[in-house]
Amino acid sequence: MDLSSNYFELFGLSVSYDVDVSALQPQWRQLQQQFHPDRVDNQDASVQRQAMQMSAQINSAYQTLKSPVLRAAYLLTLANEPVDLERTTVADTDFLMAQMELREQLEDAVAVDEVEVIADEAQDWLMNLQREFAGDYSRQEWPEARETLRKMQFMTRLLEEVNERIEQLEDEAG
Amino acid sequence: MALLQIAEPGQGQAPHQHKLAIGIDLGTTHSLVASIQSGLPRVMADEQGRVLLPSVVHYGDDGRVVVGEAAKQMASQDPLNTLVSVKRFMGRGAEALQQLGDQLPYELVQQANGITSFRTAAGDKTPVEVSADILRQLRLRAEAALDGEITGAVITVPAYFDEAQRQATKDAATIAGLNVLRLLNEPTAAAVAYGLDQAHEGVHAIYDLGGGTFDISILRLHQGVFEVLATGGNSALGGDDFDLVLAQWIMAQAGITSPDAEVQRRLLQTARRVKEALSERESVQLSLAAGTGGAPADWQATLTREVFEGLISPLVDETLKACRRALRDARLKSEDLAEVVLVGGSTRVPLVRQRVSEFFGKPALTHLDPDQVVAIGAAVQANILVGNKPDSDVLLLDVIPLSLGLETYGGLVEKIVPRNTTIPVTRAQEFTTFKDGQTAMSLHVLQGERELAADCRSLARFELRGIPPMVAGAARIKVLFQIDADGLLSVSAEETSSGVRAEIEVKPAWGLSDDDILRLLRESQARAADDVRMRLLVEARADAESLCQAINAALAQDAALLTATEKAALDEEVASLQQAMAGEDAAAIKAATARVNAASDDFAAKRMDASIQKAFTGKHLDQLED
Repeated sequence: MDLSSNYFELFGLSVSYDVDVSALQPQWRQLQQQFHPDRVDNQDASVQRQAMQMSAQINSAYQTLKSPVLRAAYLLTLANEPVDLERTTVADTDFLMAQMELREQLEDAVAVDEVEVIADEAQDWLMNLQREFAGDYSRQEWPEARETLRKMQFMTRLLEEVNERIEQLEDEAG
Repeated sequence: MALLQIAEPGQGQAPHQHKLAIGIDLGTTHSLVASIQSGLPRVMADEQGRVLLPSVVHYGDDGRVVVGEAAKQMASQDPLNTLVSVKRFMGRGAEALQQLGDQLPYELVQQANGITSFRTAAGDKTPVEVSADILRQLRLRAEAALDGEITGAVITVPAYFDEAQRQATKDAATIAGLNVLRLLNEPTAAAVAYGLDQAHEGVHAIYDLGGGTFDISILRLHQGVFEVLATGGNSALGGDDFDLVLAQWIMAQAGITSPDAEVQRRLLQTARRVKEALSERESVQLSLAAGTGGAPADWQATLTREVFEGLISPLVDETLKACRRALRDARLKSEDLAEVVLVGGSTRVPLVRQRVSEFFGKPALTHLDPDQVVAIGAAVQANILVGNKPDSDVLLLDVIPLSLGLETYGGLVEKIVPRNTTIPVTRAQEFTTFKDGQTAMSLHVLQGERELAADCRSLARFELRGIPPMVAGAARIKVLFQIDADGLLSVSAEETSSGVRAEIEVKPAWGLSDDDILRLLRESQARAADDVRMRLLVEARADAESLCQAINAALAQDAALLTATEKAALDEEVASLQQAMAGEDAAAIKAATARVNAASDDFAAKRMDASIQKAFTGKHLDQLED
């Protein structure tokens, strides 16, 4: 295992979308115990730098693998079918309409529990999209996989806005 | 890649000799240094047995630097040359400094290189240099206590310190001649200290309210690993602000309209004492003489704890808001927490304890001294990092407090590394050109949570030049953010098809350049080579020099008061003092100084008689009282 290992290899996993996210954390901790610069008993600058890179790699792998969107994007990159999440958009108009509706509801919401209903709906949606992506990926249907990933990205953004809104409402309530 | 040398538990490499490592809590109001000796933490005291070193530095017109309690006592009479709470100025740009400076009686100057400094009698001093003087004092204290050279130090910083503030702290430590093993977040250090005496597993909140900063950290402790889940806070909110609102209240109540620097300073000191007293008592009597800072009449009042709590309540609310956000970032509810730990002297305020307990729904832990716990945690970590405990499994996994990103088209921010990402971390993002034939790209590195670049903290700007001309969108510019285990950032950019590179270690425009640091370090080493002997020599020379100057000035004015014999005797002693000053023997200089003093006693008495008349005429009584 070294810096050229892919994130799945680093964590001793097979390259697949299905990852037991709860098992990542202990594995991550164990890897850091082994590779973190603080654990390297050598103050030599180049050794420390290597340890730093390895530790950073392990952190990046952990962040990527535990995030539904980042993990999916990483898989597509490994498959040489990268998707530029910043610059592409979803073509499915039904999805876009449904999404806009949720956003409108979010804007109108004035209480935390109203927002939480929206959060649950977005979360369900995201779960379904994840299952869809796993299927697209295993069938190597790249255009479908990319489209599903973009939808996941949309939903994740919406969930972020939901959280910001909850934050705002809670802060206002004191 | 070469194989890493891994420290397997229980299987250290060469047998270790014990190295001296220290932990330093560089605080807004006071600082302290601790070390682990024979397995136990020890906070080091000065000759008087005081462990807290007030973070106050006085710069005298003879170039002398006084740090700590002695400096604090000069604060009232010489506020302009006595720098307090300098941590608040660390890594801040000119604008922020000016704003802070308005609240404090300092004269700020803008250097040619864009660095803002305090103007003092001993020259212009940057916040970094002032902090270095505090750190140097702590280093000397530790060297004396441990009787040896310090291998390395862990310096704590508020978790909420941004990139520039961290860099400034590290620079200060370097200038003070310290080998920085790690910058450690204060709440994490506190957690380590608490993790020491009891093996607490689970998720903990560390609420750290110091003199000038507030931090909240949520962290999970599991099998020796301290994993920070989320952190938040405010690097400009602390107990000093309690003092400030209280001082403002006193000013309003007593009708003080035009306080000068000294009155301001005295008010703040009074406010601080009142605040401390109200932690023990229900009310405090206040009185003020007419005329103080323009007060129209004598003023007396009783300040109750209730009124005080009303004044500081909005500030406490502000801290709880940050707690709520940190919990949310960690995706936890307060009932998920095992414990809440209070750190920092300002958590002694009863309202703070009460509101924090209410917020988290559990009593707050305070059994370690809130002033010492951070330094102790830093010492524990320093001891591990120098290799004194090869079989320890303690590992701290900290996070960055604020998101890092780049300015994109239209003044928006693209976040590259979100806040609460575990460090060290590397993150790459691809960008492209938006004009045909574009050969350069300007990158603006930002820190903060806001969407507009103008609302975020600007960390650095740099340019990638020499991009081969291509149609818009064809170039592939990979921007790499690397954050090390100290939370310090470096950014590089590369056009991947041509390999054109540009790199920058983030140093804000107002930070010190590497050359500056090197120069200051040399100066400091020159001063540190000073140990006690050198210092005595320098002080003896300075005393002798000022005596010679005084005598020369007196002779120029009043030589007529002396007989020829008296003058010859005095001249002879002065000559022998000057000879001693050319040498390296501090004791000889002191002895010669004493002889000159003795020889000039009569002269001084004669001058006093002659001038006493002059002193009385033309001066008001109140001036004499000073």
